[in-house]
Amino acid sequence: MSFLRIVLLGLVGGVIVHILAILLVPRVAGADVIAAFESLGPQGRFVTLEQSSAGGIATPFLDPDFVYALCRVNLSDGPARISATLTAELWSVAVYDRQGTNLFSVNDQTAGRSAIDLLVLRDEDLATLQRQGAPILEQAILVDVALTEALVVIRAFYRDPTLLGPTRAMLAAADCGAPLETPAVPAPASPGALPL
Amino acid sequence: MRILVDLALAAVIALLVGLGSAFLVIDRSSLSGSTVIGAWTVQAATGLARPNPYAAAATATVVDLPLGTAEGLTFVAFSDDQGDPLSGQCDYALAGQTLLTRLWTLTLYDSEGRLTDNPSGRTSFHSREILRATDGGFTVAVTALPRSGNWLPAPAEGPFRLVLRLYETPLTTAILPADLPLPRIVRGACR
Repeated sequence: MSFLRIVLLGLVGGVIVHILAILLVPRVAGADVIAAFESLGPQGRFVTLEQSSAGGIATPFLDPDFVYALCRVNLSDGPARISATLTAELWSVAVYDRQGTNLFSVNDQTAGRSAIDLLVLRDEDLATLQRQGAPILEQAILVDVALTEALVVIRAFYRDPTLLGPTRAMLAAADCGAPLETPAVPAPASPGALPL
Repeated sequence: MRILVDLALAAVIALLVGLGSAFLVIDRSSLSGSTVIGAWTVQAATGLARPNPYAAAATATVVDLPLGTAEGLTFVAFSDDQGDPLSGQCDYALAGQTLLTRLWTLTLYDSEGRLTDNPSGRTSFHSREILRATDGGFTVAVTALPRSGNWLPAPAEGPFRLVLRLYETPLTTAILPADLPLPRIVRGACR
């Protein structure tokens, strides 16, 4: 085999290796965001992440101007209702799958009020609730996912260090397993007429 | 026998080229279907329900919680406007303008995602605290040496990266104007 042939064969093989590596990394690399936060606490409860500090590396690449609260939800036992009063200047709630893909997000402006009422559920649970005509379907923002486990993340901005404590307390009080029957957020204020 | 040696050589080349290019792409996410504006790269997989394989691979190697479409956009700079890697041994001046977003934050990390230890305790700036010129523009000195004004302390040595997050911006990865006025990163003196 000539040298040129060897190099060509090597390059063609390289393309195949490259494609395989890219496709396999998400499966093999094991950066599983749900597993990564397993040590933080039990399922079904919000835990605030330790603020990133210089040298400290609890979770890399966190935004130090934000407080993060995480809750691992298990949907095999039924839907998870996320309910919280969030008075931060700016906040958002996101639902991630195990691979860390952001499946759904909502922010304070799209939610239209300083509270969040989110129902994370699977298609079959949604169908059941619809058959029952459950009032929660009118109250909560529905996030139907094709997953049994998901990670719910609340982010809240704090303008200066004096607001860090209150913001952390506010997020720690978020409810990750609110009952489905009662309106979890008192008197859901109308978001107002949205311009169409 | 000769053919086996040749095949082995080809296999070595295949592994080096294939894994090397995969590693480069994943580490920098520079080809992950992401837009580059000046020194800034849009972080891949921001809120895509079905990211492309590159984006999936890039987010798989880091425990990261990418911002969703309702949350915002993340831009990362590994180098200055000239393309030279950001280094703690150099001074940088960031010159920015008002951005179309409710809030932005600018944070400096080392390659492991740690913040820089420094006496002032400053690790980031956000748009509601930064000192601005009368026209709304701002400059941030990114250097290990103390400065007046907006000073974002860098590590004394080693590479670092800057992360600019636009929160609740109407901009999306699908519609990013090429002339989006992201801060320019100009290198000053090096030690």
